[in-house]
Amino acid sequence: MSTRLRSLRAQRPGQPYNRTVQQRLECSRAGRALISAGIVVILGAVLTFNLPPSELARKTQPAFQRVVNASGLDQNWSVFAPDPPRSEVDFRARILYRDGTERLWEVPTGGPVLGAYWDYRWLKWGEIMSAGIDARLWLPAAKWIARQETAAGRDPTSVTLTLSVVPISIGAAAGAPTSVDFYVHPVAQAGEEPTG
Amino acid sequence: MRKALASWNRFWFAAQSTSTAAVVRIAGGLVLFGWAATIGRDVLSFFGPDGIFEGPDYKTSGLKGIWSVLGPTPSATVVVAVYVALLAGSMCLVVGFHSRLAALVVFVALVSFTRRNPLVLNSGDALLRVISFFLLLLPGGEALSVDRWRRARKGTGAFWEFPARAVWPLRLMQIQLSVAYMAAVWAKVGGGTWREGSAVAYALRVGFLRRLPLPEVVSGSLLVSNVLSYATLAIELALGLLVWNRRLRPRVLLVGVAFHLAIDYAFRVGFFSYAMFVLYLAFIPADTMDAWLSGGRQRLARRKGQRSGNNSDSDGAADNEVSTSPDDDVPEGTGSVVAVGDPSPGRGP
Repeated sequence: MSTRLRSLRAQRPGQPYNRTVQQRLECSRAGRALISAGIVVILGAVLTFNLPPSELARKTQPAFQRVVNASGLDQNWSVFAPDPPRSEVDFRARILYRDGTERLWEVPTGGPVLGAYWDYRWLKWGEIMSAGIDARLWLPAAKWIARQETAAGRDPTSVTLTLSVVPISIGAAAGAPTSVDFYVHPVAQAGEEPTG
Repeated sequence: MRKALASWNRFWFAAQSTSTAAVVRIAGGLVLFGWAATIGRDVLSFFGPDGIFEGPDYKTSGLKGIWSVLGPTPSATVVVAVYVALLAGSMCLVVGFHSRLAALVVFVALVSFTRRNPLVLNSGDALLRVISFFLLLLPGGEALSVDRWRRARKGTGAFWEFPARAVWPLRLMQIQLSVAYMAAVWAKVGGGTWREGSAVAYALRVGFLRRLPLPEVVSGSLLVSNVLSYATLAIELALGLLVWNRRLRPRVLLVGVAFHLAIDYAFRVGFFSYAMFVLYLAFIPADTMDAWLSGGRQRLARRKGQRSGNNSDSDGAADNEVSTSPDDDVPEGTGSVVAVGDPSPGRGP
């Protein structure tokens, strides 16, 4: 055993408190080997899950999948990448009420200063909904919107999920928006069988 | 082989003052507390049983290693309990009360919320979850904490001291930062708009992401977009690589701070920039942090002295510099002590 490691093991005189388990590990050769193994696994997980789509990524990621999922180290840095969106797609809902009136519901947003620290999560959800491709998301979203309306004392008969699409052009005025309905959720009255 | 092993040990296990670790813990706790506080109004809508998303059942999904204390359809009571634990845990991280346990609570809550509904979380939120994992490994409660203050009250050490500890958790945070920027650059250069320089103009025109107003010349000019798009790539590349150069690091990090403040101004991206700043702190050398804290403590002491009408340094801190334990041949990973300001034991905050 090296002198250095021996000196690490000795409780230093005047040391003001007892060592933690982590400290004891850091001070022993076996402990360091254990921590080093952990470091290698964490680095492997972080590095392989940030590899671009490639054969190397496909071969290495399965080995670290369990670690990444368990440790919450999954991450994605494709922010505005590979390209920012070329059109602005807003997720909305058209709500029809029993009295025949209708209203356009929009994703909740706050003010630009403090509101931006809570509404970005709604905007993220709206962005995913606006992709309009995962049908499993539609029913819970429509039901939730209907419940909010009912809780506010209104009486909705249907919630229609819709997208508003505006192409983005640089240095020119924005084009006219196009609306696309993609899901209709009939709202059951009290005592009716729920549908949708 | 022996040389490689020595280099490995030096890089991961060199002992350094825990001042940087403590500041990372406090900053991470503050950002996590802000994150938790701002999600409170929506916690049931996002994660509750009647929320906007029916969570996946990971037990039957075949995905390995996934876990959550919430499950696919948690009761409102469980969701609120996990939320309150997150709020309390993040506050405990800030003040350093049972720091390791607090980090564990925050980590469990964040992973659970993420698995329950990943649709409402962006890359910055994912980074906060990653940071919470690293905080779990970090000896951040060793200094500037209620834990340290309680030890000082018991007479085992002083509040203003920073035990030297192995640096590996901070190293992992540093590498995470570098990898994130490199991955971001790699993802961008694959896109035509980044290569032709129009990407920032497109990004700034996404209405729902816009935050505070920008002059038309910034958001509407292709020329300005060219400059900003290429600058973005250059800055991210520099942050990924040059941050490892000791001489360039302060400048690179300052540019990074300006870059992320600009992002925070222009876009509704929540806590993304602040999460990045927490990782930036991991790059501040411990001796620099010691000096900053010492300076801050001396200023505080002077102000306190002036307030009490006594300009002499009544708590004895003002004239003290950072001092280290006599054993400068610091054995890696042990509890040698760096004291900031007055090194006398038993002094409270």
